Amino acid sequence: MMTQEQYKSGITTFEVNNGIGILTINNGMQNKISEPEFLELDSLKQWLSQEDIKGLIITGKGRHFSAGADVDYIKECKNNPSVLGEKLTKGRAILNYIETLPIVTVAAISGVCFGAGLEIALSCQFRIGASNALLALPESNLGIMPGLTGTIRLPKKIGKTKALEMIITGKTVPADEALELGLVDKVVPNKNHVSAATQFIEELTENKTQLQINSIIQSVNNAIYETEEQAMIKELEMFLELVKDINI
Amino acid sequence: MKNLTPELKEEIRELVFEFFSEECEVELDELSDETTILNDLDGDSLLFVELVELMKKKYDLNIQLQTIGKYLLKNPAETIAQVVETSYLIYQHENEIVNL
Repeated sequence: MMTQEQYKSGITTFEVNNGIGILTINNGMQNKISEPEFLELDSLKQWLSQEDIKGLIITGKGRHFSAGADVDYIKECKNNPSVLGEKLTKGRAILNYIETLPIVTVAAISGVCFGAGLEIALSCQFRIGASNALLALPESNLGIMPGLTGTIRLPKKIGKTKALEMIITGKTVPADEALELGLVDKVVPNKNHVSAATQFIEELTENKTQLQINSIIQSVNNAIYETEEQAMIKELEMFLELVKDINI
Repeated sequence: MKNLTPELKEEIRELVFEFFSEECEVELDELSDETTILNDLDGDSLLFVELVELMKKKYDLNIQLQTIGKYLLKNPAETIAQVVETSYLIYQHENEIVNL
């Protein structure tokens, strides 16, 4: 297995194994997201600019993906909401960047994946949960609401009705229920989440060129973020680019 | 209040021990009533969250995590024996545990 050196930014580490980037939330036992800007976006961009990265796995070090935001930090910002707003905006930019990456992105979830942790996981295209995974947006039980795009991304994944129920109640969703909801795409035995995510990316990208994968994901993203007309024009451009290299 | 039979008590006790053994990667025979979750097992409060979800599913319990949180603030469960005792109360009282 080819392993390159490990990089660090904010509360995360990054390494590349066999062409798959692994971004690990590494912040104590609970992997709390101590600040919304949990890594430097420029660092992430630099890491992912390495050649031949076909996928990105986001996971948590140890038992849990992440217990979510540090509530004490939010309380500290009570009288200074503009500072918190700026930090949340930066955090949002990180998640938007991850969401629109033209590579396969998978959140590999074990144990608790709460609040900001789940919001990070929702920025990935796929989520694979260990059977002990527990997912929740519990902010409503603290008198607040999700602030790092949870109310935007969750309905897109599981529909408005189920998302509203989950967000308003703050209820905890175990792995099997998350699979039924479509909140995770696969449930695997405990401690197998990262290897399953690796295998998933390898299977998905097998016998495909990097340009194919990038083009397909980019085109689907365009369908979501651009007008239909623009998306169609770009799809045609990307298709013709691939035709140049056709080998059948 | 649900009836907690001796058989059920033993089942819940086994469930708790097996849970900590698996999650903390410690052999069952290395665990005892006095084993502390934080110091001996290098565990954390989120383990209790997982255990409660396990019990909710197994026994179809109506219990909210915030309810457990409030109870544990007043009655911390630091050893496995205390977790077992709290688990009995969760089974018996579900959400009403907060009123004990």
